Amino acid sequence: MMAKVEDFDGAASGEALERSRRRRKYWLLGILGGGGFAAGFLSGYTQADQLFDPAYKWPPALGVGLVIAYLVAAIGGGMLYSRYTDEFARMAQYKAVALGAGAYVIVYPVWLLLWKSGLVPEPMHFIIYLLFMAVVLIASLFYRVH
Amino acid sequence: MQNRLRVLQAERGWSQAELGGRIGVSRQAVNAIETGKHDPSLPLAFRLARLFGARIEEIFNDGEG
Repeated sequence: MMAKVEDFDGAASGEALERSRRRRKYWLLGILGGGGFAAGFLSGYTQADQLFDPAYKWPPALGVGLVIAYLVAAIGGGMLYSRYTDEFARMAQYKAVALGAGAYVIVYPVWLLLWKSGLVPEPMHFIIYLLFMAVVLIASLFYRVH
Repeated sequence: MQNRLRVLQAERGWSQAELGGRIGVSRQAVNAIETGKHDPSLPLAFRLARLFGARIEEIFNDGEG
């Protein structure tokens, strides 16, 4: 959370405040990561035999439950995370997402046209999504370090 | 953009984390501003100026003035 300078005219040192903010952020990431792991574990545990079988449909209750958990984590977690994120990290994230979107804009049409020409298999949305996420993750780390 | 953050911090004996905590950003953000890799937003520049009791242009220099 962004704090105002006036808030610090007291006893707490800046280092302690910075540590505390960082700790809250790591706690949130830990909780979100733990939730993601639990959701993945639940899906894998209950649907292990047909996890990647496109013909097999998951039980609706599982799908709806996972969607709700994901929306809560993505929207609620994202809003909370942004409170613990400063403008430098936010800017790195914006640039990373823009790069990911750029990768999508380039990869999908190229793949589609090559598929229409019979040169490659049909575009797979899951692969494109993973590519987008990978580019965002790598770019985000790069922009934060450099 | 050039700046005098490192000097101002040193005068007060503050680390990057100390300064970051006082203005509500991470140590990495302070480092990025110090090294000119990140230009702070106007609100953050004002917070820095208020903290150091200086005007923004006394801390930051865009090389034009």
